[in-house]
Amino acid sequence: MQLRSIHAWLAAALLSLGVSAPPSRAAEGADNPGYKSCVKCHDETSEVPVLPILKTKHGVVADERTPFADQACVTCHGASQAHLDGEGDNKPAPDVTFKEADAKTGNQVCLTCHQGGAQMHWAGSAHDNESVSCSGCHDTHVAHDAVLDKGQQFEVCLGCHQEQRADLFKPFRHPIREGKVACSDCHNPHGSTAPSQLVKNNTVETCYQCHADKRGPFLWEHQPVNDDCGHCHKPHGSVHVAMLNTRGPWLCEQCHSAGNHPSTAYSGTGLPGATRPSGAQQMLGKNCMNCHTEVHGSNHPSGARQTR
Amino acid sequence: MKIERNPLSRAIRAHFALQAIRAAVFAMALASVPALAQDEFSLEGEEPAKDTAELLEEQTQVSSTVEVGLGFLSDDAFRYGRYTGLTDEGVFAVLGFDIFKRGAWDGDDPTYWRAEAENLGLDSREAAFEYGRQGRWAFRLGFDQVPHNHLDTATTIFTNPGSTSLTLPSNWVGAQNTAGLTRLAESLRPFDVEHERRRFDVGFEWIPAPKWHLETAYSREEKDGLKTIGLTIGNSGGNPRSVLAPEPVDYLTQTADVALTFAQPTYQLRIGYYMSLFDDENSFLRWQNPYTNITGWTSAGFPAGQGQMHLEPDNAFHQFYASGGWSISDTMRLTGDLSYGRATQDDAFLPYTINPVLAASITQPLPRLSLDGRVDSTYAALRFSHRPSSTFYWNANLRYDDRDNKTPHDEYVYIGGDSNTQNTAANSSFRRFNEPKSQEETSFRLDGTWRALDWLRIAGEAQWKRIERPHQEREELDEDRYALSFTNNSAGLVSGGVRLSIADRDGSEYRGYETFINGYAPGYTSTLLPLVDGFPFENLPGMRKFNQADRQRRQAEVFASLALGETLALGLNVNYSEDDYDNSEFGLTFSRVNGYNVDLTWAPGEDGSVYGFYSVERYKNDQDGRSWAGATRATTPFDPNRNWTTRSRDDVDTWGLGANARFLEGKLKLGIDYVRANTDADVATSVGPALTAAPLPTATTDLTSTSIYGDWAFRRNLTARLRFAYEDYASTDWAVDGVPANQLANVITLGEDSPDYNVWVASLSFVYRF
Repeated sequence: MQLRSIHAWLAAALLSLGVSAPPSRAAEGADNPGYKSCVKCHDETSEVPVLPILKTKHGVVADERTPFADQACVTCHGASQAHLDGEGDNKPAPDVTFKEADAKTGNQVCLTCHQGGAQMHWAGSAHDNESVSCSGCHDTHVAHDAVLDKGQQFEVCLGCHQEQRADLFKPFRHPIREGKVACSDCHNPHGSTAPSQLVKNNTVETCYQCHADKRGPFLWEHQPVNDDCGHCHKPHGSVHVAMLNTRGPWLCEQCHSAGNHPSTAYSGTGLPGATRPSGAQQMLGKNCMNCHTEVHGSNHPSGARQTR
Repeated sequence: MKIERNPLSRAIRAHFALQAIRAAVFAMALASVPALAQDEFSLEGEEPAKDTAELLEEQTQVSSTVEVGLGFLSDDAFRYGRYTGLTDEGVFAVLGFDIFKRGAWDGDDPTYWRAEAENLGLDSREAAFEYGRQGRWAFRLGFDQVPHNHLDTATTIFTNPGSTSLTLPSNWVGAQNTAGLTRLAESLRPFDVEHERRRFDVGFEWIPAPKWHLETAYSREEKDGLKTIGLTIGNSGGNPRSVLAPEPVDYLTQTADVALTFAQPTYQLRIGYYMSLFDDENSFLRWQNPYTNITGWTSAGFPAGQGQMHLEPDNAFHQFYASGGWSISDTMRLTGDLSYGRATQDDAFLPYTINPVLAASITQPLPRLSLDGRVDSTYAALRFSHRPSSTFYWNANLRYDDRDNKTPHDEYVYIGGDSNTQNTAANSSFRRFNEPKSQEETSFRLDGTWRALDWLRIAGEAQWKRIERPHQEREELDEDRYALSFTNNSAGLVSGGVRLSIADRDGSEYRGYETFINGYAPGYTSTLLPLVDGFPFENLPGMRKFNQADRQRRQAEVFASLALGETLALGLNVNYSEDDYDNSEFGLTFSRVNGYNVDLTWAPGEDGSVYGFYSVERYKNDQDGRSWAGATRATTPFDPNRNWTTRSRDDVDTWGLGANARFLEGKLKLGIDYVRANTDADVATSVGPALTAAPLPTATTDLTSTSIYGDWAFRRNLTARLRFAYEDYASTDWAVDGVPANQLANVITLGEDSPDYNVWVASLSFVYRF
């Protein structure tokens, strides 16, 4: 009784929003004219297979949102009458080809359905401005779209972002090669209003997704932490431990020059000597962090110097 | 969560990463040769000739796979398997599956389910299950395990790594520094610095009508293991004694995200709620002080002395957000984001000291029992995009990002490293005020693109940004950025371009004393002479923190993609970026990054390709300082003979070669990849006549990775998969190599060595498709 009431309430609420239940649609499937005319040539023996799209979500006729529930191939490629009428190698291309050279036309077709959610900010995004086409990253005609695969996505991104390739092999990096972190965990390739198309509003919020322990707020804050993790870390990979921009103690000395050890000139004079003990305690081991260990902030009442 | 359809172990594939590189290079290189690109990347059509019924079935009906096999790792390789769990010598299982069931594509029922799993035989296993009716609703479950190995050569003097109360051996002999710690060497015990994440996901989405979409997701991630921490007794800058030790990690992070989207062609709206709850099972870490009392300590030394750290406090974050888009016309679109979030942290404070003798000295207690920390964040952004013609478009972007720290501001009279009695004197440097930091950033950007010719696109950009940071060294920071690019992005055989940008940053008066005088009691800062510009100083007056300093940024990038004939493709990228902190006397004064990347692919036919790449990166950081002493602050901070300059240089060279080919009408696929990655990190410090300096060795890493892979489809539905990889890694770091636990006088280090290994791994598995 109670459930029935909930259903009734939900139905009423949806109706009040102008939302109706999805109608059941008679599937035309293989008899769809927008499909039949195409597979006369683009059949299972085609040199460039297109039929695997039927194994993807786009091909599900029973989902009325999909192109195959509408006019099948024609929904995306257009009526393409000249293409249908043409013969030989010089026949005109379909109306919409999703080629890189005409990204705007192809993208507009995709945006017809994919303009909400993560694609909200596509217009004016970095990739839109660069005329990147949806098909430049997505392969809609295969069952497995590599860019949607966490383990293979970086392969697609590296196709253009060559400068990030070496990062994959740096000694300190995120597990991108292992498929545990994907580019899209941090960046929204479809655009965002944040810098570098980050998925969250700014750098720190993006990093806190996985590093929530650094969020605080702490009693004794370390100012750069809340500003931008990138002040100290290279998120794409680094030659220094903890993906630091440069190694300590020099990284710390870029902002700290108080009297005594924070302003000391560290060099080879701090290496271990002939006798033991010897060596600079601010330079060896974990350098500054031998003592100032809470560099992301301290919540200890005696942690003003980040040693607690 | 999406898992790759082909359950080839990603753990193994990590070494075979050049497959990825090959694909990436290949994709890029052939981007301008579409006729070649399409079928090369098709996952289908790789089987030998079949009858049309088979082909039709394969191309239109979803299939499932199961992979079963065994692998062998030649040696223990802690770092090699740092993210995969492939660490122990011996046999491991290769096990995964992807079972996907749904009706025919043109059927009436959109119900489906899919179960996927990968790396089940390793600690990097993951699995996902999804059940739903496409276009109506979907239910998802996921599990992902991620190991992270840091060190397997670390040692500790404590008997119970992993405990929150670290104890010394019963026969420990304390001393004032490591020279006298006679039991140190025999007490050292190894421990692995490693932690692991295990994340469980559950999600549900509901599409009540085609324009509506409700998405919910919840994740629960446990992270446990050990990391390392410096544990200090004594007051920093005075008389500290430290020991590097294992820190237990036992975190639980829960996140939830609920979003409702309404989307139709003209306008879209998305509203949602995001939550993150972080819990640290351990709130403190205590340890026995291995050192005996030294001058300045009060009852802090061995055997009774102990210290206590506060580990990461629990925190919570709640955020409401909304995004919207309005396609005003075919050529104009307006989008925006709005969000409001609140981060809170209210863990109970630990006492000023755990030492009961010192605690008895406390006359000024904690101002509060917990922080009651709170940061409110407000975000708003608006973008207007206009395409007045097919050859010109422009965008205007406005962005506001505010972090309002409402954490209470109080005075704390701290006790230095569990070693001193409380000093409440009016001129005590132990009287400190916490400084909740707020920040407000506003920016406006205009950019436009003009397709001047069929093959030429010219783009420009101007951005103005202001950051306000109350009560910090620089309260206002302004940056103007201008960028220009020329791009040939035609579909011809040559494409490429040039991007240039300049950005100048300055702001209000830089007051280096600001956080200093705000953080200490006036009774203390008023004792510090001399004054500079009427104020005392902590950092050198000429120091400029680089995130607030004047900066001139210059960036350039040249890129090109060339198709040399129908089979050869070349990609080039040269980039340069420099930051000149021209008004910084001390601190970071200059940094530069430049890189060169070359890719070459030769694809003589659809049955094979050969590739190569070479990448060079050069990082340069210059910083200046002046070595001075607090006891002589009247003179040494102003003595140029005590100046020093440090030049840091990091060189990264990465190159690789590879080939792949298909034989027997596609039944047999073979490939080989080889990559070398070398890094050199140099630091050189030069000093004025009052100081001395000496050269430092280069810190290096050298990675060589070779992988060979083969797939043999010896039956229609059965493929044998062979993988072999060899990896050689060597590294040197003067900060740890030859630095045993008792090397330093006042710090007991971990005594670890830089990673160095060579290992091979092989696996044979069978993939059954049905």
